[in-house]
Amino acid sequence: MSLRLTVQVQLVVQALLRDPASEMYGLELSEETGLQPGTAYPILLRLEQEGWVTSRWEDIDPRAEKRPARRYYRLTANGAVQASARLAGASRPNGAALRRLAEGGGVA
Amino acid sequence: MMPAVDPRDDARKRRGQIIGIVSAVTVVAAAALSGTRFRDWATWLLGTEVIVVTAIVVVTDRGRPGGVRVRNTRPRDGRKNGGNSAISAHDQREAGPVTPPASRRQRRLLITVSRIMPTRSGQRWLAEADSLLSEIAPARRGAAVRSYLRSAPRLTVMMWAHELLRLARLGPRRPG
Repeated sequence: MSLRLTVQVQLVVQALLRDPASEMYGLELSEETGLQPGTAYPILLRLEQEGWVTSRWEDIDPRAEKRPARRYYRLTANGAVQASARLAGASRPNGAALRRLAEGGGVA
Repeated sequence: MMPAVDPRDDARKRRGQIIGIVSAVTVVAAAALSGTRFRDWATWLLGTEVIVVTAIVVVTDRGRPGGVRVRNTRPRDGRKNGGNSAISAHDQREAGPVTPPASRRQRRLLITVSRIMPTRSGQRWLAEADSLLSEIAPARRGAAVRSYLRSAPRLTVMMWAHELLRLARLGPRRPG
């Protein structure tokens, strides 16, 4: 099943592609893309199911840190290649449309 | 030493029994109504299933934090909860102590929604929502909870589709 590159999916993939080697957690991604967390989550899940993204729970002592562990996401090597290729071929939404979408926290 | 009995096993067993009865009744009813138009009995069937599944979730929620009638479940030994949670002990260890991320009502809604999802996916969704909501600015928390709830129906369908495909790939279980 091929992943449909909606504008929201593009936003998430672009955020992850900025530094493919680094990991991002949900809130970070949400702030980076301007999408609401509830919108970003299904996208990340789809990307994970497609093998583009891998995720893990943060290894911390939540009591010491006084916060729950975060779930970190990172592009896989295959995912980074495929995402770059698909984004290059995708029609680029214009900046104004992206800003409007981000402000509205659109739904995937 | 006797292994500890998980109180959730009872709920699961009861839920299984109820679902079995409901399925049997549904099949009989569908057979009885099969003379009518497909659209009529399919709508009736779907509606009945939705009502019954909702009722099952509410009934088996009793006594569980976030579920129905949760008052007076606090233990007297000083712990903040009775050890029961929508998140398994393993996931709680992984996700850490759950900071109240939102109002009690919002959290209860998130827990209820997570129970409609396949177990493991629902637990992960809830743990991740808890983690994020504990860090998000309070002013943005309400909108974030609403966004989680808004995307939940579609996400639930997606998760169940994925789960069914996974089970289909695994094939029927062999005894032993």
